[in-house]
Amino acid sequence: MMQDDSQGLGAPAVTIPQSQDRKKILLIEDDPFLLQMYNDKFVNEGYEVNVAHDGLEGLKMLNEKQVDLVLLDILIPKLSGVDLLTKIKEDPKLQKMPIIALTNLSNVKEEQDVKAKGVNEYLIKSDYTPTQVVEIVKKYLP
Amino acid sequence: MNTNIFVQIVLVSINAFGLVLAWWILRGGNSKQLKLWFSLMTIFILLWANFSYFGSTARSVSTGLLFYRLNWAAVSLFLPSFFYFFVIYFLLKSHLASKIGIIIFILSIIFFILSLFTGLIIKDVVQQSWGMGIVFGPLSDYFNIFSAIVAIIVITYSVQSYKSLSKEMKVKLNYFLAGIFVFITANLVFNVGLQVIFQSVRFQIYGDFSAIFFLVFTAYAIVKYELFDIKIIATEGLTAVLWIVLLAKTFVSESPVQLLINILIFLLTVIFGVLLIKSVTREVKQRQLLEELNKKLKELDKQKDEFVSMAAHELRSPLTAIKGYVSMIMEGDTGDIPEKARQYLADSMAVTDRLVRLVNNMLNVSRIEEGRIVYQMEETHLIRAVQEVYYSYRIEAERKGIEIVMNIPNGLDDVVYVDPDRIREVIGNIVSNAVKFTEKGKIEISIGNPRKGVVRVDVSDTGPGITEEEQKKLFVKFYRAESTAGKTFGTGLGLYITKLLIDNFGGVIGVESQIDKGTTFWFELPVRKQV
Repeated sequence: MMQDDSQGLGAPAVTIPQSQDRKKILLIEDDPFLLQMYNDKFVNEGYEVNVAHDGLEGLKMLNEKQVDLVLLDILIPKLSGVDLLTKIKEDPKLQKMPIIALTNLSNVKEEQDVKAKGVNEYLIKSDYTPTQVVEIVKKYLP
Repeated sequence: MNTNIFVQIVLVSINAFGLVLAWWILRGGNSKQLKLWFSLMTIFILLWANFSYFGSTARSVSTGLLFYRLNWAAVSLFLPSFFYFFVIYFLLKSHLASKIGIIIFILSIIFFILSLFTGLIIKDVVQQSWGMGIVFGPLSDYFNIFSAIVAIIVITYSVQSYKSLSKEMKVKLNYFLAGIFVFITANLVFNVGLQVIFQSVRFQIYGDFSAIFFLVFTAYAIVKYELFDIKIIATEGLTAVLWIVLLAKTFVSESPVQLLINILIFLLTVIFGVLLIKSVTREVKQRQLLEELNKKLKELDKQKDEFVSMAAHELRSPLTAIKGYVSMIMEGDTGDIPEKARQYLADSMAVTDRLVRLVNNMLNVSRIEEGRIVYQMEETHLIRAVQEVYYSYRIEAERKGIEIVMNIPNGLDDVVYVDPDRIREVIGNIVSNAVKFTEKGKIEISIGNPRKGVVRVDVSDTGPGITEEEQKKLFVKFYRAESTAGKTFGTGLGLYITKLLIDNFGGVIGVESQIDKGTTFWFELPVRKQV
């Protein structure tokens, strides 16, 4: 699949900063189209993007790599977004990290669960363009 | 003699009541064994009470002795065996019955035989001033001790298993224990206490009668939790009592004419009663059916919610990808694109956004209606929400050749207490309608303070206008204006949701329109903070 710092399909219109200055984002998303899209957008915007396709892979990456912010889908295989959130919040090393729930699920119960666990934002994907998501991420990674 | 009449009335009532009770239980309950044991227990309680009465009122010593012995035989079978098995085995569903039960059963058979055929329990009877009294045999105390032990086992076991019981069973057991309490108290008072004080069994009959309380409580517990319906039971009970009274009346008729009239009345009551019971039964059955259907509907509603929620999720994912990629191309992530392509992409964006709104509306309508939505209430700058909506519709409006302007008075920046996402949805719904229905001319979004403490947003268009008739129905669910627009759009949910949301935020929404001139939608919200 994709490389961690994949530059996406299109030619980026911006210059990419040097690796050490780049903010590191972990994108946990199981839909390949959306994964590709957000990956490309954030890479174009100069972020270093790590991707995970399910909750377990996401957890593994969180433990192995240094990450500044997590974009978390909720309906993901192996370990659900809610369960992954629980694990993150239980881990003293990770619990302060900004987390943006990026999901298309707006089931009242799940939404309450996720919010109760303490995410910084709960975004419905279809309500935002990738650029708008980037704007929101910038609030947490200035 | 007065007491005797009183006792007779009580006895007849207990008989009628007990039989009716046993009959109901036999007809209705679910568990065949429970019904059988309850009925047996009832019959033995009735025998006990009746034999006791016949014994005490017997004219000769031999009849008195016979009835008292029958009385005690019935008790020795009833109390230790039926009572024990009924409670332990059928009420508590315990296997304790198999172990101790056999011993209790054998002992009660022994006491039964001893009471009936020997003088060891009841030695003799003697004529007293109040009636026939008992002279107890040497083993009668052992029977009392045996009965007490059984009662203690039953109560201890009931109390012990109380905690582990289901809520429903607890209530059932509560009734049962209440019945037992009255029964045992009465027995202690009349059969033991008064017997010791007055050295006479003349009060024993009242203690025996108290068994009816136990029956009533137990029957009620069974009735309530074994799918009986109290309404049917009450009707049947009253009807049965009426029948018994009227039937008894025919037997004491004083003349043939009166007999004829009484029989006629009785027959009419029977017919009327049967019809009454049938109609009540039908009504109750229908109610049960409705309750069942209601339960199914609730289940279906839950399934529907889950389905809608999942369907929305599945619809949103491809929409997100379309919207995302189109926006990225438009924003230059793939490099420069021709102006014509940009216009086409702007159109795709607009229709994709329409689809996104449609999905959101479908998802939200039932939640807002049922108050299940969770609002993220915040102090929100209303003009910011207006501006955001304005910018997101400007392209679409200009593509249609409509001028779209925003009028914000200098210095106005009122803060309202709303859910910012939802208020954008409100303004978006109104502006999107204006863009949709206006073919030429101008859309004007204005914001102002009509009076102190209130902020108002007006969205005016130069569209076809809405008739007064239709204006009234605009905010109704699924209503879509068509007469003036000439065409219909959407699901008819947008304005309905908009109104629900504004209502929720403590505001007012309205419309003013003139045919061929245009329409103005407006809403007002209370100001939280003036900036």
